[in-house]
Amino acid sequence: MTAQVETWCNILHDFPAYAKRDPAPRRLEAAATGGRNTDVRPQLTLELFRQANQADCAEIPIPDAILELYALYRPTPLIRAKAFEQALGTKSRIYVKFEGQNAAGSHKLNSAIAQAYYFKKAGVERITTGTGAGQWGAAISWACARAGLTATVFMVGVSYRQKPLRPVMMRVYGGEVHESPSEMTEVGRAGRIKDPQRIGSLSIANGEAIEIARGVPGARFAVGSGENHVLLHQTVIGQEAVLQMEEIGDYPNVVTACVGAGSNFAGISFPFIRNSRRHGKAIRIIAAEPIACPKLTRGLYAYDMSDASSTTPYVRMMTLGRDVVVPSIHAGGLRYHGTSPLLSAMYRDGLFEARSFPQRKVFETAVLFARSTGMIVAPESAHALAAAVDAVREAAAPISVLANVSGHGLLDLSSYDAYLKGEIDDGAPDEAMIARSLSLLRQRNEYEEAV
Amino acid sequence: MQYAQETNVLDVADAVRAALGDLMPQARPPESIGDSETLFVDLGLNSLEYLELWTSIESRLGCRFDDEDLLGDLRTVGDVVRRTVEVCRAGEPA
Repeated sequence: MTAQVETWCNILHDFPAYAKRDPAPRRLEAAATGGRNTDVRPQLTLELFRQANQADCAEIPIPDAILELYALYRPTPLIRAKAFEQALGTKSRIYVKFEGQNAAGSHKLNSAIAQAYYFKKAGVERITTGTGAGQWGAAISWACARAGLTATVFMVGVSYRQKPLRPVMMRVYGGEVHESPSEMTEVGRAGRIKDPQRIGSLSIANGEAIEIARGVPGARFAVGSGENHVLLHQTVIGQEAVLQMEEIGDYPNVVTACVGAGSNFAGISFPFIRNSRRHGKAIRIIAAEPIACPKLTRGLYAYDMSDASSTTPYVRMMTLGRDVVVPSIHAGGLRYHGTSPLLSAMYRDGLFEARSFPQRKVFETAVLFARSTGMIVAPESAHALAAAVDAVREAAAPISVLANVSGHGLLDLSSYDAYLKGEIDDGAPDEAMIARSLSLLRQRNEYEEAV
Repeated sequence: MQYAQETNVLDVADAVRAALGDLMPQARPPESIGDSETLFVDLGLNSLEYLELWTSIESRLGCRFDDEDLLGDLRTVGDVVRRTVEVCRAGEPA
């Protein structure tokens, strides 16, 4: 049995250049505000800010109170999916790290517990947040309940309607849940005008949550992915996986994970990237994204904002532009317009590769996986499996592949049902929308062409 | 936490102004920054620079802030100097 890891893996220590301050976004902010300065209080706590920026220590100790809650579900299982290998007819070895066995049903709990702890310690009473498919919303609702905080969650409209049991789950845990775009905020009302079908986006949901956090005393906005401190919290996944693979006596040639803003991807990959640098272990790391939201494979490396409120700092990232509204695919957690700035920089530097997958291929893989292993995975996580399948099929000789399954799909059965009835398409990107958004991004930003 | 020397208000004020001088989007000599100037509106800090200000003061003075230290109304340069002095003095040996 693998011991519980007691530190987070700080990849900034391995790549200190990524921790350096980039002054360029300030010129864009000045242009966006017409030079008017506004009183915009920080949403992060000082401790989380330190975690997001410090490069001086390789390992950051996890406080005991967090470890105690992690111990309820960690270490998570790493299994070899032999029946899946057989179903594919491959001699390669496919391993799965499964993050779905916890109260929230996904990896999101790893950061939710940590953030609730630090916000509580900083005197915060209410956490507001945006959630895509609802895994983060469920995780933060439970973590807040445990920490004695109130959670206010804005859930992306299309997922709210596609996965109606997720908001119920959040409410059971004590969270207040609102369909986004809502009528409660200026960001939401503006979103409803632009998007009358109320498909919504994480950019809008986060913007609504930030607006509420700024208007309610004792409230702060928490984010479920993308920011460095969130990626850091998720590294328990990869650290365990490194140990578990060593115990098995194998080591992956390829690691795959899906990418929304990048938290589960960073969580599984950072410790392997560190191992690769320190011990010269060659490894391929593949980020899997939907063709409907191809920010890594088709986006720009540009300065953009993380949400639609236009009040957050500019950051440089692989992005389709914060104005894009991605088609309503079933992997709602992968519809975010950008990728974490840290991961974007690493992608630019060639530390990992990316591939995009059509929705039907993802579900085809997920169903094959379910029938062979018995595990029904989240549509987001099925992207990691699709990338793993491609990797073994393209290999000249048998290889070892590790896929991170970030969550279960038991609240996504209506999506599986739609697939089985032949009612879903490939989730083709909205080319006109992407073109408009990228054009706007070019106009308002300095940018460099995508990799 | 041990401190190298007894906290001097003028040293703290200098450290705070030097930190602000490095962070402000519009470059200004630190000595021109007044106590009554507000961090966000007058000096133009954004939310991340506000947090960086505190970590920069930490590294200049060798002190350590907790999130609790940042509670309350800290709007002006003078507020930051006062809070820094309080934290540094609280950490000094009796």
